[in-house]
Amino acid sequence: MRRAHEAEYEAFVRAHRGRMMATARLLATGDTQLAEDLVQNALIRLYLAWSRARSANSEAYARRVLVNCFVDHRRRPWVRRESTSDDIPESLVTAGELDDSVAAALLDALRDLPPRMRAAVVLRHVQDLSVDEAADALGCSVGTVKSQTARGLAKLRARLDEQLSTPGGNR
Amino acid sequence: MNDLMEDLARLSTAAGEADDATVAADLRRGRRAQRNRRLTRLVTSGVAVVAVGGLATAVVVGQHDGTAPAEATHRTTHAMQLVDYDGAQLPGFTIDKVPNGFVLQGADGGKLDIARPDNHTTLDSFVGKVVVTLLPTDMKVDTKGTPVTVNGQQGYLVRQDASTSLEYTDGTHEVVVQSWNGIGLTDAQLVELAEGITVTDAVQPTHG
Repeated sequence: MRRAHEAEYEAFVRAHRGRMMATARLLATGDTQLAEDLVQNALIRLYLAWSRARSANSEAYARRVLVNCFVDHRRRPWVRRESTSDDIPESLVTAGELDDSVAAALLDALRDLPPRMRAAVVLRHVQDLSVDEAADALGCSVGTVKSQTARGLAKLRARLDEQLSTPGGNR
Repeated sequence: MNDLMEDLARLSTAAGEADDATVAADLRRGRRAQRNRRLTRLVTSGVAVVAVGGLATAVVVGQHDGTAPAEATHRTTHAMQLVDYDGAQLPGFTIDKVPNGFVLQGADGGKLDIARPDNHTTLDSFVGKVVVTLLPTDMKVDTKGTPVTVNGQQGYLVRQDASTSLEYTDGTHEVVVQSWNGIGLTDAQLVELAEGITVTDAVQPTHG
């Protein structure tokens, strides 16, 4: 990679890694080691394709790669990479406004969704992406995003209602 | 429903800038992957590989780490051979061939790791190994890869940045054989290795 392109890549990582990590933590429903692996693998793929990524919307490109890494990780022996930090936060919600028990209940419910449905819900309703942006990240149609998020929300609601009706439920 | 959507929105966390050490580590991994990819392309294409008495010399020409002027780097790698395996088998899979110098490192019923004897990493580390496993039960073979035939059944080679996976069905199971690129197995050797694999009744399906 050319030096100028590397400088761009570095600037991108510096500015966007935190948000990628936040998305990855949600996709991994709190598994911070998996989230770190997803981000590291996504950033490697981004480095290898930087000449293409830089000429497009690099943030959208990175998001697409991250979602692909997430969907792919279940199907193949996963490349576990080294940690970049000794201080990976254990808690998903470190700066959010939610009560911990509510956050935990939501994560439990998210964990039950199939990967692509989970990604659709996270991108649309946590990361607040538009339907078009979510469709781009998932590599599917706008209609598929709409149906996946609708079904995902219905499943989440049912799961949370189930938790509420369980004695000692955490919500 | 609105409460749920509001709660989901509140899961969003603030994201700051990555620190220098983290950025440097990402850059280092990217450079390393690029070097591995260049070397793998040269070795597997055969363009720059000259076999001499079982050795192959690959000449890599290009920028080093992307920061220095173009230079020539000479690397010497062994041309990997597959050999018959007649050692003890492990639960889940039996195997007829292994890369020369490799052993069955271990198995947990759901996957089998084939590695060099001095590889003491856990079974969950796949660097430098061939790994045999099954796709999660809710997944099918990835048909976007390069089509190949494994024991008369359709399979597909899927390339990742550091490894190549062969996904195929044996008629009953959806099998994945992943080879780390640095091992130097060709596509044909990966298929040959897969053709010697039998999934046994002791295998534990992956549910994801």
